[in-house]
Amino acid sequence: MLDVTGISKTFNPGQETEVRALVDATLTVPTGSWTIVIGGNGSGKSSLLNAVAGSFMVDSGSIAIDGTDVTRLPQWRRATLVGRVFQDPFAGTSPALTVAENLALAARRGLFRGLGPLLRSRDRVGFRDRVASLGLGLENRMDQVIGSLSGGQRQSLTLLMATLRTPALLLLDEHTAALDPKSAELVIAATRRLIDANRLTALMVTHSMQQAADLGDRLVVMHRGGVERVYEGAAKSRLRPDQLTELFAELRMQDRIDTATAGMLAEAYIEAR
Amino acid sequence: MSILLSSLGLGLVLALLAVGIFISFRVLRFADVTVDGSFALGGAAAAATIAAGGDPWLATAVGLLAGAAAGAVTGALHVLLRIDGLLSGIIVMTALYSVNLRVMGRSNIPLVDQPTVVRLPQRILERLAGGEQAEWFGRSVSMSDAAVFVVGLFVVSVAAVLLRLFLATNLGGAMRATGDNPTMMQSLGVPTGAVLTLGLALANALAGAAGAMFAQAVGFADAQMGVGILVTGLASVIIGENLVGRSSLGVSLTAVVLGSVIFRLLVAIALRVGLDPNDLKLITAVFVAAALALPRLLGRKGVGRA
Ligand SMILES: Nc1ncnc2c1ncn2[C@@H]1O[C@H](COP(=O)(O)OP(=O)(O)OP(=O)(O)O)[C@@H](O)[C@H]1O
Ligand SMILES: [Mg+2]
Repeated sequence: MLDVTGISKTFNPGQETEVRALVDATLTVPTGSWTIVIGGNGSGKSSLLNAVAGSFMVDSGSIAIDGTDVTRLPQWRRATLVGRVFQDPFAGTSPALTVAENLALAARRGLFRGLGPLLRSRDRVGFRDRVASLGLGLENRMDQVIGSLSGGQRQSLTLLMATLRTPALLLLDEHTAALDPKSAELVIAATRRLIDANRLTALMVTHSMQQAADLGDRLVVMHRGGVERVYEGAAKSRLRPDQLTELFAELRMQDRIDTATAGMLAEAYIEAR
Repeated sequence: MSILLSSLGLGLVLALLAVGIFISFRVLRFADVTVDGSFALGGAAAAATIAAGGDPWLATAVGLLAGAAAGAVTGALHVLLRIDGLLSGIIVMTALYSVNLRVMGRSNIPLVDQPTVVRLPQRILERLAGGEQAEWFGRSVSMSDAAVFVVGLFVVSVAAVLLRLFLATNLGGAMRATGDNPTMMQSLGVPTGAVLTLGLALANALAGAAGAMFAQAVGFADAQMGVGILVTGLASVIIGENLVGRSSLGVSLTAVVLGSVIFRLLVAIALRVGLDPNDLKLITAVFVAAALALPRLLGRKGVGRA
């Protein structure tokens, strides 16, 4: 389904602010899999999802979705295949448009937009039912502008919008991180329901060890822009949150040792001069 | 009465421009200063077409298309060459100054003895009234002012209704959301750069049409006619939104049209009571600056968004 092969991305190359966000990262997500991505801050999780969605072009490597090589396609053309929910709960909706209008926009993800009416009355019923299934009571606020809703409500709607036309691949980047615990729980429940009901293939980044252990069928650990480890099958289902926390500590230690070694080498080198 | 009617008429003609500014500043949220140039371009292109013997409605269409082209260039500079949006508009506006002189071949074209879009309705009205002036409500009214009013009302109504319909289509909805949240629209498969460029072409098409009609209404086109027109249009948008409201697209569009008419009336009254016409732009500029700053100073939201 998703085949990411040896992609690399360096931001601001040659400048002082140079960052190697992705370093030869390789990953496959089989059809129907719900793959969780974890890793420390700056390990490249968002960059991986952005690269797949086409927010930027990678320096090298290739990306294929559903057998289509999308490496050089701009983001808007990949939208045919990809549905997306951002970490920022306000990023996925258009605040000045109504709930119904936002859904209507999402219903044409990746399709041609001509001079037909945006909101047809026969679509409205379907939209209402879908919104009602979120259990937030938003079906009575279909004609209110989305800007008047809370972050949690907007994120739930974004999730609905991303899956309104079944995407070949669903990308979720810490989509509950900015929400209060109660809203986060609701959004996770909706995520579970939508992924199961539509048999979606999903790639989901999370910072929550609990979510990483509970959700999905595969787990990918990222470190320094690359894929450090993959757990699948029984190995994944046996994972507990505290094991993941330990793994993180281990990786952090490794980092510290690497930095210390680098420091020692530098010192030795400079003294030798 | 005559002053009242003539400012109503010009207010309606300039409402086309205000609606264009509404598209760029409000719908697209793009501070587009191209309009100063595209308004004059529309006037110049229409005047040149009429002077060459062209039909006045054809001339208006030429003005509209010329404006659209100018807007598309601004969009392309911003989207393809990644030049700052404000700067893209300034570049095109500056270039248009020379273009407009080229189009006209001189700095001004009089249209007094030429056929214009106002001419036919004026003839009809004069026949009905039995002369160039008529007594309405006990006052003498010029039939040429009445004709500008009729034509202006017709054109701006058609434009506003068509725009309202367009903004409710799949493409129009995508355009509104692109101004609102381009990141989201990219992720929903919309080439936002192309949509922005299309929107700027549309906004400047209206500015061009406004310039074309304005030139025919006042009887001449001038290379200077666009100077400061953006701030004037913005003042109309702000006045309309605050007096009429913006609870929906239809309300907003009506507000912008009425705002333009009210602005013209205010200007007429100010000149009547002895304001020096040379101070008009200064006063308009101060008004717009105040309208934009006041809500922030008063700690309120939403009055002078621009
Ligand atoms: N557009 C960009 N320009 C410059 N640097 C960037 C850009 N995007 C990401 N980076 C850098 O790339 C590195 C990886 O960032 P990324 O956002 O992928 O990390 P992450 O794993 O998602 O981290 P977090 O857990 O904090 O979200 C970071 O050092 C970040 O500062
Ligand atoms: Mg991130």
